[in-house]
Amino acid sequence: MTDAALLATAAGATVDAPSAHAIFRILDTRVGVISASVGLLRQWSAEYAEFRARPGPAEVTVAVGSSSDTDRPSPGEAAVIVDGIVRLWDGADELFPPLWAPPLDRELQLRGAAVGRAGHAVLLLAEPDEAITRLAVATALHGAWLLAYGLVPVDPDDLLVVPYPKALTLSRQTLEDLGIDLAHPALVPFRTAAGGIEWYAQPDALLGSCWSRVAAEASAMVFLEPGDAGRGARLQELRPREALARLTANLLRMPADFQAGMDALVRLCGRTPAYRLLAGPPGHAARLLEDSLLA
Amino acid sequence: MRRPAVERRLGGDGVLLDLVGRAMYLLNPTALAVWELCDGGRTAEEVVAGLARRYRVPEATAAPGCLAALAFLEAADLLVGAEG
Repeated sequence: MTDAALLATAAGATVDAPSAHAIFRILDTRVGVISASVGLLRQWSAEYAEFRARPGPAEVTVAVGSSSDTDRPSPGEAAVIVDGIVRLWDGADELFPPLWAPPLDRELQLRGAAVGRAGHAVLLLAEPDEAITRLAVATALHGAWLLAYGLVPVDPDDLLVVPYPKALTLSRQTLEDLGIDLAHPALVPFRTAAGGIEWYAQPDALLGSCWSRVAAEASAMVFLEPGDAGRGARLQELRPREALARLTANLLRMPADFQAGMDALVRLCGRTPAYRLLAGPPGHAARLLEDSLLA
Repeated sequence: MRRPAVERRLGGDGVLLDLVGRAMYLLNPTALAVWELCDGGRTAEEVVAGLARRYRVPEATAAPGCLAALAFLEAADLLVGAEG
């Protein structure tokens, strides 16, 4: 299928519409993007800069027919093509990366971030928000490696945490909390869907720390919960069944192979210590993690 | 009769994977024992008696927890057909 035909598949596109192209390598899968919207591809390229790959064939293709540089495509204005099968995007799932499309759906997909040292990873699990970003960045400032951000993929066979170097998304408040100047050269501003301004940043440019590119064994699972700002951060150990309930709640989606995925979750909870972290004031939680789980 | 499900152990607890409904259930040790006793050949009273024997307690002591576990398993459609 030609690029023009791919684009024409998405409603609203014309066959001769100009398009921008890029290849990303995500979870060991080559994902191509053909986009009539330059602005959208520019944003994805900033957010997933570490995933960009050399040109070549793609196993999964995302085609965006909408040419608007400011508005996200509406359902039907984009399509995802796998093995020659075209699926019009209906807006129910994230368009990019299409983690719901095979073979990207193989890993367990947990919400959160992962930090580590010496081949071991500590999973920080929670709905992506400022708290998890602050904790991941503060931990990296203490010298830990960042292994995954925004999503923590876990291989269901060997239970290794797979690197996922998505750019940090930082709000003004988070930057202020971390003492990072808004004019820092590593910050790339973008407009949010709600109309506000936030920033992308690569941790190595922002913090001087680096991504770890090597899959790591999970040494601890930490579930973030809001704490009392008046009290210090606290770690409370969880029983395996409590960890399993929380882990399941942090799944981005049910694994494609349900039994293999659930078996993997049970094995992970059976062998990995789990804690709930009551965060407390900014900075306390990172020091606690450093002293208790990363030392 | 138990609906087909895959059983796993996690510490002292049980995990049931309902492959048809794509759901997972955490069972405490009592519920796990009740699940194991629901082999399709026992009435509810016999399950209570079996649980009492297993934990070496009077049936009256075992009954409330056992019936609660049976109710949970039935509500989750993990048991097919009435157990007496």
